[in-house]
Amino acid sequence: MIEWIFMIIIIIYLVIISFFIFQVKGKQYELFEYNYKDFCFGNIPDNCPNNANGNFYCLLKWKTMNNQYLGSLSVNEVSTDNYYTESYWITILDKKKNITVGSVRWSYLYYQKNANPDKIKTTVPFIKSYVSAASGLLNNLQNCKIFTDFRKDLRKIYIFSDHPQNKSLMQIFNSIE
Amino acid sequence: MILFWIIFIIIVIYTIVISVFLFRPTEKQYQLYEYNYNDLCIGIIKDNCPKNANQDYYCLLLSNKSLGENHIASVYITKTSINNYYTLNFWITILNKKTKVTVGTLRWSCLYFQNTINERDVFKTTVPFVYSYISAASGTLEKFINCKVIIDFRNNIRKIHIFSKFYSEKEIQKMIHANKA
Repeated sequence: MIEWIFMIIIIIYLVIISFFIFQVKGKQYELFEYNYKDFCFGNIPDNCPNNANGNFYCLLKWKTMNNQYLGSLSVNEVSTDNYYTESYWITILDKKKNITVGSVRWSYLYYQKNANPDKIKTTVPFIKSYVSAASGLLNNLQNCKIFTDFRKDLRKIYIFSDHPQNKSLMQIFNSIE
Repeated sequence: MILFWIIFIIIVIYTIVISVFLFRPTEKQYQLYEYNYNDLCIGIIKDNCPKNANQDYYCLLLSNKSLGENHIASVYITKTSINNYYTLNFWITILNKKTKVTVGTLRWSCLYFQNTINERDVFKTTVPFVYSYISAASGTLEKFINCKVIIDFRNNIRKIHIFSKFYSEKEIQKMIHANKA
């Protein structure tokens, strides 16, 4: 009888340990915001005058975290035959410690036929992609789904995992063409 | 009783598997890359924010132990600033000189606050150290993904220290301060 009690205790212990080791990736959701009007626009001269070749940068807010953190957004944009490639990089600073605590990297390729009078402005309402690289505090966002809402000047970047609690974001993501 | 022993043996095997997973080797990996600030080529990208920095820098890394005799590497950096917040994006790419094949890359970015300027050279970083994490790594350097990276800007020979996860903060501080400014 004592052996069986001992056995049950061991099994419970192993189940708990296993839970921590093989735990399912939890709910991941992050929201970043930046204002299009805050962008600084750099122009890179090249031999294709009809195409875009520029870089943009601004500071951004990490809305799902507190004010201790500040982000910067770097974007490179090139276009060929109305196909736009944008490479994004978010870097997060811990303002108190003045150290970089994480980064996220991804790129978009999208088709945009009717350029805005402001040639640099994206006219497509939503663009989606997947996170290519992530580090530090944002390491868990590796390969997560991402989309940007370009409808207003206040641009919103949503990054999220496949967790059931992200169902509403998933629906938006799936509806983006 | 036989059932007991069967279950017991299964548990022992399972425990061994978990132990291997938990106590897998924790090898320390360290890389030091160096470049000379005076070797940097500096490009200026014109934009609509004349008070901000918008530049790119590139040069070859200096030969050292981490790089090895058969390899040569380049560093490419982009730099932008807004309200004294500076963003640096780094790429290191390593070439095997014999096979002429790129054997590995590292990519990371840093964001830091700097409210002083070197008046003799406005391109120079005046913060002594900048900390970050490796965002992406490939090839022979793949094992450094998400490792700590610290750049020592104190001397013209810039030092890029990369530490695997098994270094304590005390060990890291000791190593980066080994060479005094």
